[in-house]
Amino acid sequence: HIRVKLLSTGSGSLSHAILRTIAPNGHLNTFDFHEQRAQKAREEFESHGFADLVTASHRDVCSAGFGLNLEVDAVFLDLPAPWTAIASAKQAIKLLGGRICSFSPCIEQVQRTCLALTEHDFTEVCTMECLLRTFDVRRVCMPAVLDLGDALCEDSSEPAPNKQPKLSDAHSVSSEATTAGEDHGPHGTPKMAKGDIFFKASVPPLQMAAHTGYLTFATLSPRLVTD
Amino acid sequence: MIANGDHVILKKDDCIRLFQVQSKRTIVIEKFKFMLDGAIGHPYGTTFDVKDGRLLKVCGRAPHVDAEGAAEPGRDNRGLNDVGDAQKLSHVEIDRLRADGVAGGDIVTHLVQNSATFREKTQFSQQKYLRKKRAKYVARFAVLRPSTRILCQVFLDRGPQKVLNLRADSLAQMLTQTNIRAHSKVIVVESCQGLIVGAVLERLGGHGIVVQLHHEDTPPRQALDAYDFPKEMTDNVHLSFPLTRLASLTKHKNVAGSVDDLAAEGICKQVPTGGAATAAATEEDLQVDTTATSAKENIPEVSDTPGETRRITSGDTPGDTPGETSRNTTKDASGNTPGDGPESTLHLGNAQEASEGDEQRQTNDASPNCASPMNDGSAEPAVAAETETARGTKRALDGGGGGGGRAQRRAAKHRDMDRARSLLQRGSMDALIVATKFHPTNVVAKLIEFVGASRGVAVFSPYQEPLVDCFTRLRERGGIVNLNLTETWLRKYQVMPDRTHPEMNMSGTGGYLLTGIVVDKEPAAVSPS
Repeated sequence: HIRVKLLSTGSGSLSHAILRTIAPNGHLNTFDFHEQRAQKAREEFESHGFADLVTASHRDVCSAGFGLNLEVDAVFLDLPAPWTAIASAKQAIKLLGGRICSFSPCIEQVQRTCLALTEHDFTEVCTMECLLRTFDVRRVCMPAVLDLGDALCEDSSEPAPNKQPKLSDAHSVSSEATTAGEDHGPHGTPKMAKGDIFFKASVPPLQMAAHTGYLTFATLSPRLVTD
Repeated sequence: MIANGDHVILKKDDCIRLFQVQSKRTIVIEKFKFMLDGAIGHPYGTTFDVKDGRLLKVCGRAPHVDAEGAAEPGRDNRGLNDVGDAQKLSHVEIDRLRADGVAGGDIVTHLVQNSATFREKTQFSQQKYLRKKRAKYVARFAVLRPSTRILCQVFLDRGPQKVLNLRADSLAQMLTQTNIRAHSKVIVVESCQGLIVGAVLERLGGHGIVVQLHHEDTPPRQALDAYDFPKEMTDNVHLSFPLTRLASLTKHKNVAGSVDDLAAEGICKQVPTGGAATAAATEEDLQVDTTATSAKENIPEVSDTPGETRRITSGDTPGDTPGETSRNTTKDASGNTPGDGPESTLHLGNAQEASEGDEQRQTNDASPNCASPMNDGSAEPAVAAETETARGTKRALDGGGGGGGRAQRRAAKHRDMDRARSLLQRGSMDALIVATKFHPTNVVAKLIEFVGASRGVAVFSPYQEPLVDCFTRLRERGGIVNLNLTETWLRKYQVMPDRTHPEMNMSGTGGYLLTGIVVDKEPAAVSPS
């Protein structure tokens, strides 16, 4: 029975995510000032079977308001000027309170939005950024330096040269493997030389997405009609 | 509305703690001692002052700190020496003010008046000082309803090892990657005090099934209890099954069945009214004879609700949602309207739930489906007597199969196990979520057998290495694509005019996640449709 308001519809991908979450009893009101986008979204909601759960409107809410009065639990704003929509957002949220989230790429937008939120009595205003980091899991093989000149040491109590370095988690290639006479190791890996150390690693990529936008969340506490 | 027996969260700035409302019982938080009785009857989200050991609702708005400060602040701090003697009031005098019951705001005023350096501070510095003193002396708490978002915060703050350092955004990722939604059939293995089970139940909204596989007899559930889910809902939707019995399950080949098939196999009952044939396109209620639950059957029951979309394809077994009362399904029939009948909404806590709505960072979802669409007043006769009192009383009777008695509880437990067993054996669960203190690899490798094709798996660990191992094993096994090992990086910002910057401290880790999508290992045999 959760009611959500989302601006603006755009591609509709966030709308679908929200619909997936609030189905079967919730409702989503979403708006876009771009007529074709609003229409396309409406058609997609319909063809995906969401028609009952969503009202997709073509509307410029920043000038015309939402037309929603004290009836939603949550508002999500993905607009260039979200601070202009805060008053309407407050009016749309139920008297018992609700949550709001605004997504903006620029810190200046965030600053104006946070100011507007505080001015309109929203509390727990919290801005954050969240990035997904992926790891590539792969087998890594590192040759080891075996000859550290031990053979040149005069101290005869040194163990035999070519002793293999020990790593706790890794495996090193013993001499037996190389005398087996294969050109390649398993799975077509290059031939492992004696003393090579291999292990499983999870390696971050060289480049990753650093920024999409800042997320600002806030709460509207229960209020009386007269507030 | 806040009621006696409810679990609540008390929040004051960064201090956030979980309590249970128990009348006349004094709690202690940040050196303030008071009873929670004053909160009873008020909506969740209300702010209260502590006065004379009681809670008093705050009227009007809190002052905006940024608007305050002395008339003529200083320019910079060149003349200020930090030797700790700026405040004329001693600790003893301040404590006496507190003991005398002087309001926090007044104490702050006293401190400002007795500060030798306040007037010389810059305006920003003065505001920071006021904010800091208010945070310490003003006893103003918000009483919030537990939801996944807030419970994550509480546990991470006060007992991160209890939840394996699971941060809210990691949990959000897990729910999204496995597409948890109403009517999902989910396998959960966790060591997070039931936080993940609770989060999934919150999303399911009473429709679907959670089979929790556990290692110990009764897994700790401090977080799960805090959700205050109605017992009728959890009895039907939340099943437990011991890990030690897993090997005994023989998985049938994935059977994509319609309701007719399921009925024919005796897995579920055919509908007595409504007569819908397939799970797919029907818009009618499949009324389920709820009085026949548990008592007679040990098989999952089927119901479908209007508004169920074509996303549930004919290949899906419909979510097993036994125990839906006719009253509930009537509401579903009109579910697309705001559904805000005053009594039922407030009673179910829908609105309050929304005021603590869950944020899913990556997907930017708004509030989750309500935790408890089940009407507390719904009646299986045995339960009715319990439900007329506060939820707290119901919670006290938790574990009783409708009335206490060890034999009954054991019987209920066995019924649950049978239901879970037949459900798992169909091999078409919708999601697998693992976040366990045990090494995940062999658990995941075993449980993935029970997950249907095109369905998601999410494995969480505070460490990377076990997930690397799990990744390797799953690669070797095959039957899973889009294997991704990820973590989410989360940083908060202080946003104030001319003072905006990331916060000085941030979370160092929210854990790691391994996700993937199950696919058929062998080409599917031609099946009769």
